Amino acid sequence: MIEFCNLSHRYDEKGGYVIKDISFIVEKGSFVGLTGPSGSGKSTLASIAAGHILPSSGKVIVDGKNLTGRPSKEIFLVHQSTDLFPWQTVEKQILFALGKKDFQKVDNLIKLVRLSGYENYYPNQLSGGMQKRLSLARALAVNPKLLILDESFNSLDSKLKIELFQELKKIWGIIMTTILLITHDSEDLEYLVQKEIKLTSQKPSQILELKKR
Amino acid sequence: MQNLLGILVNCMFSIERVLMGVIMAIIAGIFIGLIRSILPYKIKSNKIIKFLFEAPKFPPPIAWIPFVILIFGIGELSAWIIVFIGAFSPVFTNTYEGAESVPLVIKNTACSMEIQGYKYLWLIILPASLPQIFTGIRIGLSVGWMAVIAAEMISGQTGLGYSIQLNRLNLQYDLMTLDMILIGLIGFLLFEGLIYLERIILPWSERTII
Repeated sequence: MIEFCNLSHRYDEKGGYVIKDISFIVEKGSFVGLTGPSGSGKSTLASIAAGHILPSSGKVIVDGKNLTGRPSKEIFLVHQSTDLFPWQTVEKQILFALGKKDFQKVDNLIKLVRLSGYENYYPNQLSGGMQKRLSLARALAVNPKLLILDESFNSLDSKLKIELFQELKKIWGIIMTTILLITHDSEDLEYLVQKEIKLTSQKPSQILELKKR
Repeated sequence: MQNLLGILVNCMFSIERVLMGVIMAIIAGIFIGLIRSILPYKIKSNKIIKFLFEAPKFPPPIAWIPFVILIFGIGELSAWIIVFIGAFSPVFTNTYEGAESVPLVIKNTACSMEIQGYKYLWLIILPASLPQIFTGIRIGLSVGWMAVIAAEMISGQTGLGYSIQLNRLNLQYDLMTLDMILIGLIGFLLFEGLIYLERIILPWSERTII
């Protein structure tokens, strides 16, 4: 279970809060969506969850362990922009994330994201959709307790985005990793998530509603 | 025939000196550049530390020649050190700048994979900085090549720089011109060789060199 407890954050001591008093729980194995308009603090929340930003107040607790401000393999964030290592091939990206030479697992993950035949390609030789699938495979190789996808597919055209969302749901059905999918478009989450957390548009952002689907 | 052999020997001496000096500069420049990049912000932004890192690169390599000869005498070591002085700054500066400009998403992703310490430097920061490090090496090689010719002209016993001085004193302007052409040709070939090496080492780099 991943608990986000009373998270508030402001980037500047004198500035206003970006998010204020946000609390919610992500159950193990669930598929949760986080939505809100642009600038509502979704990415800030994702960075706090992944430990890349220390919040002004509040805690991130994973299975009873306080991981606030501590990046770890427990919560892995797939960023909006490409976060692949440009110097590693498809196969090496996954091997590196695994941390051990388990070629069978690498092969399985490559098959899972339909990148067979591209093992020796570098990220800049792959299309946008393939890069996103590779980011996903690499994140799965890390085997996190919570996988956060921060508008990871939003730069793609709508047809490809829908295709990837469907693939994501299929993959989730197979591996049952806990996923927090962040998007500004609530429609993206249709038929996809079990729970939707909606952030308000005014500053500071707060939870507008918690919808169970 | 004897002339041709002499020219070849001089070419080999100059090439050996520039390669030795540049290799020393690559090792030291990358190492110190990376170390500087991981210093805490407070130390990095300290004016005295900044001065210590930045000031030594401003005197040109030729200005160092009398000091180097005074300390190390006339010989191979002095030539290597003069090339080293010329090549070090571009490699060091570009390594540091390259390491500083590694995208935050890459640094954050590495942190999430729990890559820390020397592994973080060796497996993330160094490869991510390599395209810019190669830019530094290219500039360093050019400066080093100019420096070694200048050093040989002032204090050499062999090499293309020495050959130019000797031919000038002997009024052999044809050989002097040949030396100049060879300096240009070898400099160009060394530069092209480095670009070829870059393409082999960095097949993933998006930079295209014409």
